[in-house]
Amino acid sequence: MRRGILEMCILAIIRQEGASYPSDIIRALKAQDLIVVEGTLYPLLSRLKQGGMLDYTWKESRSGPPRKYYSLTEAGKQFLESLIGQWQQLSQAVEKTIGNQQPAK
Amino acid sequence: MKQITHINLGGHPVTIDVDAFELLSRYLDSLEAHFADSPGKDEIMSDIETRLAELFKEHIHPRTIVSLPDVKAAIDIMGTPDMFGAETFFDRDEAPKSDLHTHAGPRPGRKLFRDPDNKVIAGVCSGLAAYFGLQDPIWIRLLFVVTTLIGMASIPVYILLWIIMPVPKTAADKLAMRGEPVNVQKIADTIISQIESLSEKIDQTFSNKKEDNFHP
Repeated sequence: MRRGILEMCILAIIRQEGASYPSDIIRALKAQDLIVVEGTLYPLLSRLKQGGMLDYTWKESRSGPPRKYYSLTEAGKQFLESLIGQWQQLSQAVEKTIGNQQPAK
Repeated sequence: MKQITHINLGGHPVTIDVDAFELLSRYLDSLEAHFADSPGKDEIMSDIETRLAELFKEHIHPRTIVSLPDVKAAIDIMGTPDMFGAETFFDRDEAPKSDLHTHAGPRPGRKLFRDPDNKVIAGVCSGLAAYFGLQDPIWIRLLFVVTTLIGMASIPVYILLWIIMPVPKTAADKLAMRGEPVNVQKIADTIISQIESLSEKIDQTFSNKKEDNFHP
């Protein structure tokens, strides 16, 4: 169910937050119950980075070594747009289909 | 009394006792094995190590030495490889969006791959045709057939090529096979076309499973 959607959410979080530290992305995903274990995030970040959707910069940190902050590339922004477009199309279609059918409780 | 040791975990200095160190080592080994085929393995591992060090810091406060329960708690939060396998987009044997950086640049030239999308036996001829810029692999195929008929050792050559020519695994590989320019936009287009089946997949999940695990 969440395949691909997770990528979309990660990109969307990074777009909203600007340069994002992985722990903050995790917090946002966990707040919405989108991931259960944190280890899920890192391979996805790596893949998105290798696909040219994300890039990162190192920033100094007051409490420890420099931190890695991820941000969207131009390609990443376009990719996210297209994913969101597809998602909205789909969710509208699903919404219309199931919206009229109130489940009996 | 327990022996302690100092380690560098993702750039953070960590003081840890021997039992905890043992568990942590085994856990990291299992992750390393899980990501062995990922092109971003080193990066994933270093990100995870950094995060583990942060989790330890939060968990042990105000103590200073990481012990077994701290490692267990961190592993619970981070999860084991079998747990995050289930949440990722590509299956392990599907094409990962990998190796893109090695192909970066405007026109890396053609690369020799077998073409599994356009094959009669193993895609060797169509791969060669793509490499030499021929529209139709039929000429290469004919060449193999004719040379075999006149008694040349084409069949062993074919088998040899079958063995040594790789199959394109990534979007960038496929572009390189056809000699198309590899740039981020092209790759994005190719990946987007791969993702296009996403809607169908979700659709199927909706229709196949009566209860889904997506929180409304």
